[in-house]
Amino acid sequence: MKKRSIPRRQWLKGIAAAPAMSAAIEAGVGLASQAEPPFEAAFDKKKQYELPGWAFSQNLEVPLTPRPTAVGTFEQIDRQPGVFGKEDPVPVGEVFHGVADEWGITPNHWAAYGLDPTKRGAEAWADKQAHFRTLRDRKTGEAIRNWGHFPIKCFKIPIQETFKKLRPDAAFEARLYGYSGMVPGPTFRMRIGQPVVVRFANQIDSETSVHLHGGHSPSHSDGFPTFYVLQGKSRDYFYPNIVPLRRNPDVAPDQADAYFADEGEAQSTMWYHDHAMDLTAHNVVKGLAGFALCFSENELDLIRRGVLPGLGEKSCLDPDLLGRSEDPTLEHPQFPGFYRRGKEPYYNPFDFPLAIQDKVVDLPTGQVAYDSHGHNGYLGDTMFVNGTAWPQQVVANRKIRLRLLNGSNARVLRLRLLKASDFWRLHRDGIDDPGAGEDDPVVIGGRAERYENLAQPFLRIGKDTWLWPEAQTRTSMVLTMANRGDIVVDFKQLVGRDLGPGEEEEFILVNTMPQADGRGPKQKLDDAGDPRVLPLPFDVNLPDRQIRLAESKRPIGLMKIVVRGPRVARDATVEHGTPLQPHQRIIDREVTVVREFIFERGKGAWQINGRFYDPNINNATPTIDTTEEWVLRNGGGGWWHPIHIHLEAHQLVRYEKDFDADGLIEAVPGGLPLGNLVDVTNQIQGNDLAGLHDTIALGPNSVARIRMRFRTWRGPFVFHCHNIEHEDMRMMFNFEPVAEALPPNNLLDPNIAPNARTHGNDVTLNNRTGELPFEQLPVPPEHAEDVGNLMIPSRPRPKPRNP
Amino acid sequence: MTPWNFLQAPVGSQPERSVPRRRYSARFENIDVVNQFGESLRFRDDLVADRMVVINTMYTTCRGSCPTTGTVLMKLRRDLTDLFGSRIALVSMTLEPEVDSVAVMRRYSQDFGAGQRRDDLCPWHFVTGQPHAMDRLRRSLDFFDLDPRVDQDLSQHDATLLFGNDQSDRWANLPAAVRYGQLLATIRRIVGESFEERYGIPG
Repeated sequence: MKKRSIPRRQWLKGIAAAPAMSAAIEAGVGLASQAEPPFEAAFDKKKQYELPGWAFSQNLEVPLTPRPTAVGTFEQIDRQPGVFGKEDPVPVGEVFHGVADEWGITPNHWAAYGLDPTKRGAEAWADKQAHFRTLRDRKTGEAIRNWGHFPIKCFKIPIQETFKKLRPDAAFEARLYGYSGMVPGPTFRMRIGQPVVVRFANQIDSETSVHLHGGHSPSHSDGFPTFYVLQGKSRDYFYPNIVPLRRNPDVAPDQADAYFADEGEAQSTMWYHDHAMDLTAHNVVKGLAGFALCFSENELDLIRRGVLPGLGEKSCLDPDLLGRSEDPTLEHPQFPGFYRRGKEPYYNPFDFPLAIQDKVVDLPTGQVAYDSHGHNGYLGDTMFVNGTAWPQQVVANRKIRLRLLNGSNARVLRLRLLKASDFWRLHRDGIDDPGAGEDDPVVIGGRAERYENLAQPFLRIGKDTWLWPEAQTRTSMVLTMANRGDIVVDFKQLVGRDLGPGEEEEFILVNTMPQADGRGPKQKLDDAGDPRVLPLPFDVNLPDRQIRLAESKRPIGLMKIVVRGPRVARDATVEHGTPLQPHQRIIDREVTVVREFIFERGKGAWQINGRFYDPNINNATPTIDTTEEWVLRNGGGGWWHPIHIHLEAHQLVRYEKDFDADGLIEAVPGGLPLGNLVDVTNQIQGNDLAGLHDTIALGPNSVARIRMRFRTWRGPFVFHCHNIEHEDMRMMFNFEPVAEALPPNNLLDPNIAPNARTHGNDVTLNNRTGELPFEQLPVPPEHAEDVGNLMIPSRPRPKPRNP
Repeated sequence: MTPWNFLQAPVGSQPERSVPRRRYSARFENIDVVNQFGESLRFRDDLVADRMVVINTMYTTCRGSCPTTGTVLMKLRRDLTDLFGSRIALVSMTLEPEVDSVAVMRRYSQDFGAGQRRDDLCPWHFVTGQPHAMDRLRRSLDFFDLDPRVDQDLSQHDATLLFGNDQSDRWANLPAAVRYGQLLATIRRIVGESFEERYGIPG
């Protein structure tokens, strides 16, 4: 066995961890279990509408950006000691969990893109640079190589226990987990065409796995649930930051322009969070989540030209690309290894990433009151934005970009922006509705128009990881778990005047979605007259439609935004209809395979197609460079399931309401009733429909038809419900893109899930032990036809027009 | 080259803070239960505190998932004893305490080789108690359905295992129908105390 060099410190930490843990337990307060009172703190649905006196008094924290430990060419990084800091001699890929094999080799199927799979190392890297096509720098017109145009950046992020007071009235600091000891984790600021290697080192007593949510990354680096970073170990996550290549169906595959770089899928607002098997919810609620922003040439151009808020050219620069990595003024004075504020790449004082999370805080101990064994979904009554309870932020009298993330475990948000005076009145009195019962904070109907009239408009510019094709005016935004909403608020217009010294205008970001348990928003969302319309988990803002939204009697305040100063003269130019980032719609003839997945409750846990998740069984095998349509069906019971599909963006083509869904659980084996679907696709506004999406809200009684292309990386990857408790309780499936189109009736027919993973351990470069052998169980003898049984027959693959 | 991020908070440099810990098991109702041998036990103090434990719900007349789950637990008992000896225990709690008296539970436990005390296998308690208390207990362990209709229907009860280590405060649950190897590997990973105990390889 090859000797593995693990830093001594890390090794010692691993050994020391167990006794240190128990010592810590002994040292704790009130530990003798008999003396230990039960948690008083539990979620109380009425408390979520209350605000403590100190709400909106703490300042918002904007997470720092980590500095790279090395910046260089492939030759300067590969096999070199010290690229993760001078105290860490271990080169890329030689830690316990290794690095993705795509770092050093070329998969065979990339021959289709013109690459030579026999090349290795630096030669292979140069080959990838040459063949992953180019993008265009919109300032200079210069060609930018999709793969590795900009030097590689290396980062080292320890996953640490950390302490933070969650509320001023909590008696103690809470024991949390943090990337680099920060909650939320530091914000990465990356660029398309710039490969990044992050060494995540686990120093906590919980197994971890890091998922870059929205990324198009190799399987090894994608946070597959059993591709762990174990206690005391490290994994090198390789994020190439490429835009996927798309097959041009009109050109023969061997022609030079058969593939082009699909810039419409350049990532913008990603986030990273824990994804470890069985423990994701525990790890995330304790703090393992952060933002990862990526800048494409197009987005930088929008900022440079002043379309999107920013400092123009100044917000398009990376000091490390200007050769200033050694400049001592970049370093944060208190936090070595982080940029001083204002010095980070693509610095933008008018762009705030905001992670919204809810937790229950046990005030006598200060700890997060989490229920490790609950699996309906965890709700909290203390609302956090970027780790601070009910913060406030002062902004200039101008357009401000807010990148909002619903980072909660099980709470669905309907976000609105209210003037502070309106908010406090509604907070005190509730919406004025004579029909509303006094004791019931959630009453349906009659008041939606009021919220609608009071809500301040904003421009929505993107959903999930991607910018929209054009900006659109909205007054509300529905974000299910893991969704992101990218918006620009024109405070200059909302305030409408110059604010003198001492003057300010206040706005409150609120959630009006009534929700009392992990099942999702109150079931009876429906407008009494037309149950086909709601609950529709999308923005609903159609002035001509006579519907009323179900919203809570009192808004839940999240954050205060204080506007000060005179109106700025030169503001961002984005307005309703401004074009941003066009996407390529997937057309009917591209689709070659249709699969159906039913998400339902079963045996006290969660299932897809009647099966529990098994990390060793493959549930779908798409062929790389083909397009599929997936039918995602909610199995009923009033549950909401936001479905997140790793690796690829998807487009929504149809959204249907299925009123027999609650009969489905029994009906599955014998076939599905299809006649009662009601198409509500036309109720969804254009961009909400087109996306792009990485997490689609599957509300109760709903069927979503989505389309996506599978590209670049071999599996395994997962898709799952992003109610994290459901995910941990096995509402998850694997899909494993493979390179070859397979003959029908073969075990690897894309319609039929083969029983085995097609590869597993070889996702790690040099077949180093990346994954634990004991987790790689023998595969059951019969092959899993669960997907095949529900299959709609595959269509012939489209032939190129000019063979 | 910039300083290593690590330096921000080097390993071991932070003094262990004395913040209170409340274990997850603090939520478990500490009710009086009786096992198949007629022993009175406090649920949290005697079955959970500082121990490794695997808990499931059952009722003796179940013709659905219980016999299968019982067979799985029989296998787990053997394999977990090999790994953890008597540091671990299995607890099967009845959902129908009105019917499942101590005698009934003892008879039932015989089907799974748990009718006698055994030194060569880890303890396996089949517990019953006061109906109201047992109901509170199962709710505190989240063995319930939010839909009252489903919750009242015994035949639709949870076929899940709740397992954890109270000392290290690590818990997880899994459907008992998950492939056996998965189940064993996961329980081992969650309740194990050292790297080797969890993963079967030296840390």
